[in-house]
Amino acid sequence: MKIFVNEIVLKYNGKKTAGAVQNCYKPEADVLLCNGAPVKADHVIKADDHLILIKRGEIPTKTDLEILMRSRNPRIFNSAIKGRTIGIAGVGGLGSVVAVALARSFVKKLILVDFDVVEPSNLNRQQYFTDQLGFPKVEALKANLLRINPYLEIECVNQHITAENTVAIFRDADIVAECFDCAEAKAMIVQQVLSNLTCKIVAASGVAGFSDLEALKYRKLSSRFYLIGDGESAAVPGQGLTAAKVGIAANMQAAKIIELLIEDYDDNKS
Amino acid sequence: MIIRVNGESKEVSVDLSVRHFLKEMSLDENRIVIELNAKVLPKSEFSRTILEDGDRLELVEFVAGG
Repeated sequence: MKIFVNEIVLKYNGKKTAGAVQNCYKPEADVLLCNGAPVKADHVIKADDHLILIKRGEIPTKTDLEILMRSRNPRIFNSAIKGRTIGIAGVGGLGSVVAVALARSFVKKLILVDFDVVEPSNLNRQQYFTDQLGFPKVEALKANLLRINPYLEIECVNQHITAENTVAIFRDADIVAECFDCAEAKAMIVQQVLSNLTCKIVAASGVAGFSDLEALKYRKLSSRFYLIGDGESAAVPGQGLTAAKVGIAANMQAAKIIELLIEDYDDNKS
Repeated sequence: MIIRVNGESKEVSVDLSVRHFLKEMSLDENRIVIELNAKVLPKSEFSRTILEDGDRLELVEFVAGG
């Protein structure tokens, strides 16, 4: 009969229990899942069951992880993302969340750029941990992303982005995510990318506060410039940045990046 | 003369530079990205670019937060 073991389809004619499949394919496994639920070794299996065999604490090989980690994604999603490089300008409330979404999506490479260090006020919304306080954000984020996907390529640029170095930093990026805090820096990098590179940029403006989530929307300014946010809610004293709202805006950026990669993939295919 | 700003018609005076236009609109040129007729306009060009009848401007003024 046909079964799936760690998401690979197999012809299996042995004894019809989860334990027998385990002995056959991964004897060292200590956790058995059948169709998403934990089962014991004597669990009876049937055709088309999906068995996942895990050895607790073991990091799968790159090939195995790729198959397992991407198994819930649509096929076009996986095809379009494979091999792509995304630049992330600023890894605070927006950038650290965009990076996590893209790392989980199995992009090939992320270019993380920020000059800042992790400070306590960042922990209300940014993807860092208390034991990382004081460390450069790009290095801390790299460590966290590698726990999600140890095979992700990450380039850390621990410096200020300026009009002079933007092109050199993001030369290899397929898309750049603008994730800065400062309005002037946002305008600068969008201008640099649109003027001096050929890739698309997905920026954000108007993400402060905690309510009015329905005002967060997409704007397409041109074929290479996309903007997320309400355009107005600035971070000022009395109106700060909060995990849920900034997180939504950041994930809207990540979703748009993926959508653009898929469009690009479709265009190149046809 | 008439130009289009973010899809809406706007009457402006002749011989108006982009820089003066931004000033009239109370927009901060350091926080602005402008596309003039579908081409991004570098900040260094704001003062020497004179708007012409029928020009299409897409502009975004960024606000802080991220």
